[in-house]
Amino acid sequence: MLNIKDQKENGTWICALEGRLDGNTSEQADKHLSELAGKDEVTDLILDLSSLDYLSSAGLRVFLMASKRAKSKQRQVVLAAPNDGVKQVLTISGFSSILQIYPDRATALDTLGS
Amino acid sequence: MQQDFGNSLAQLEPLAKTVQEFGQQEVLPKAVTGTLNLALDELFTNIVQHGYAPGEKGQISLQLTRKGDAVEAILQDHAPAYNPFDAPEPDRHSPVESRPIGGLGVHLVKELMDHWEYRRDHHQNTVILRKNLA
Repeated sequence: MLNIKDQKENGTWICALEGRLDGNTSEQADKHLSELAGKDEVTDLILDLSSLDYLSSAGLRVFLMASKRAKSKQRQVVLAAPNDGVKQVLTISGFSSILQIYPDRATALDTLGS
Repeated sequence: MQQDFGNSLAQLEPLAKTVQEFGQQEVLPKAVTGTLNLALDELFTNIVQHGYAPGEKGQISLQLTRKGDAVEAILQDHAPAYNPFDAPEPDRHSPVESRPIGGLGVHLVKELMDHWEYRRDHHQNTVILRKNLA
């Protein structure tokens, strides 16, 4: 079960993922992020993971796709506030070297806004 | 603990619940239960997506056992013979633009578990995982 909430703060779009991002919910997430990337007003995107309980490689694929889409438009996707388990998956898979990961949403907003 | 699942991705959550119950029953550290579940999730997802043919109804069996200072998980299915550990190592170094998508699941299993093996016997794929507690 995955809930996705879109918000806009200080001009930056934030997508909060809540629940589980696994093989069962990855298609839903990919579709959502793909639609979001298609909107002109969406530039950089913060994926707020503070309420994401679980991430598997199916979810990593969603992050990679989102990042590839953003890069092709000179935009970026960053991650914020992963829990320890999620962080471990990001590290082992080598994602921490290609995606910016911030400890919390505020830091991500500060960095993107500056 | 033994549990059978249908070959559907909707079973990933029940799978996680089973692993969690086993973890509680054996008073395992949370990190061990978490990594064991992730490893099983990755292999289970592979079986559903690539093992059984699309639309084919199949079964995936899980057996969880405490073995002294380790836990052992056995995952079995009746799909065509397939050794997940034969897959090539994924690219973990190229930049976003050129990084290929996929192949990470089995890599995670190998990183997270202390032992993994594959066997084909009695027309079944059998994967055995072990995670040390100490």
